[in-house]
Amino acid sequence: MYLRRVTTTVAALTLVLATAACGDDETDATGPSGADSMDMSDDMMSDPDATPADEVDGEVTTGEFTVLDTAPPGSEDAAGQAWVAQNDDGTTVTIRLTGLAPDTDYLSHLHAQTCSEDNGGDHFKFDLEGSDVPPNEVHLAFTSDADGSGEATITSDQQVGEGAPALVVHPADAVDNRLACADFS
Amino acid sequence: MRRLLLKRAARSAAGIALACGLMALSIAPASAHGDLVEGSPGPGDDVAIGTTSVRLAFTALDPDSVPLVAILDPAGDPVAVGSPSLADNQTICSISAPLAAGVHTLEYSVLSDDGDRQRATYTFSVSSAGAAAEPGACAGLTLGEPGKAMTLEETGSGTVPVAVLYGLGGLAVLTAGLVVLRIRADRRSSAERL
Repeated sequence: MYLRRVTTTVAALTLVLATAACGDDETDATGPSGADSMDMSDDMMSDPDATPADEVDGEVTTGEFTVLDTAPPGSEDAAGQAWVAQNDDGTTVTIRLTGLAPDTDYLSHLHAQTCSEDNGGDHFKFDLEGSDVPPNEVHLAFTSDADGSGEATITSDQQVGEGAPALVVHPADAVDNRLACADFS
Repeated sequence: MRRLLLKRAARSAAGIALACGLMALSIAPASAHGDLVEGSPGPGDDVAIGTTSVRLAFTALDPDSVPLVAILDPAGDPVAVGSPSLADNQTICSISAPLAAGVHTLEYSVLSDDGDRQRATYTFSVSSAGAAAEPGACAGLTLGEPGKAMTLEETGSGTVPVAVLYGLGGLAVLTAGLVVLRIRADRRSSAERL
């Protein structure tokens, strides 16, 4: 009985310390809204088999990318377009860009504010109190080709409604450098 | 029976360690805590040649933590940066060696007030047409002179992560507990024999 009590005490103490040890985890590279370059499975950030948003039946909005003042030096030629399509199946987002650095990884997210408001502000979330990762947010990942062009499409089974007025693109390894933003209209 | 209990204790400890590992793997990255709000030089900025002032403003830093800052020159080699200091608890201030023309990379690692360590990188340019640095909240602070040029990894190599300290502490407590357990079990066994 006594032995069991001691064992339980030691185990509980270790649990407390071990849990504390788990607490100081490192988040790699988050931008102003956090979680900008989280390591997630590719299928949550790109779906090459999905129908692009500009070909989806439903309500489609589009926006032209403008280069932001936080873009990496030398990004002045970046340009392109983003589309959001919504229907009963949910939401499809597609981006197409040119003028990027060749063979480079990029991340993109739907944002909760327009480009003129704090460069898009925080990430759009379906549940404001929820996590920073898909499916609660809409993220896209892609790698530019040798010519500096890139394209990505992702789908969500929820409709974003009017809560995601903009989309921002960043280099994956320098997410504080918000590169380009597109307002949907 | 006693051996069985000891085995159970060891098994519990192993289970806890495994649970800790799984928690570390499954924890979702923290939300918007300790995010970079503004910098000088900031992301995408063009600052003047010879700039030495480094200022990074965050949303929610742990004021007791030690932030790490490193700058890489256009060739990717580290630039000497002095030990960072905190102004108003949320702004990291430091002095670098004078920056030469070209695209530089700034790396930082900070601890948010929620215990989440954030590491990020951004680029900025230095040119003769660049703007003067804006010391902001760092103005008037006495800052350490730049020492040896180091990468972020080298800058942080002298510090032991808090998680490691806690982990070692937990292990020490567990070991001590098991030793005490064993000694008492042996004593009781001897007493019973007498």
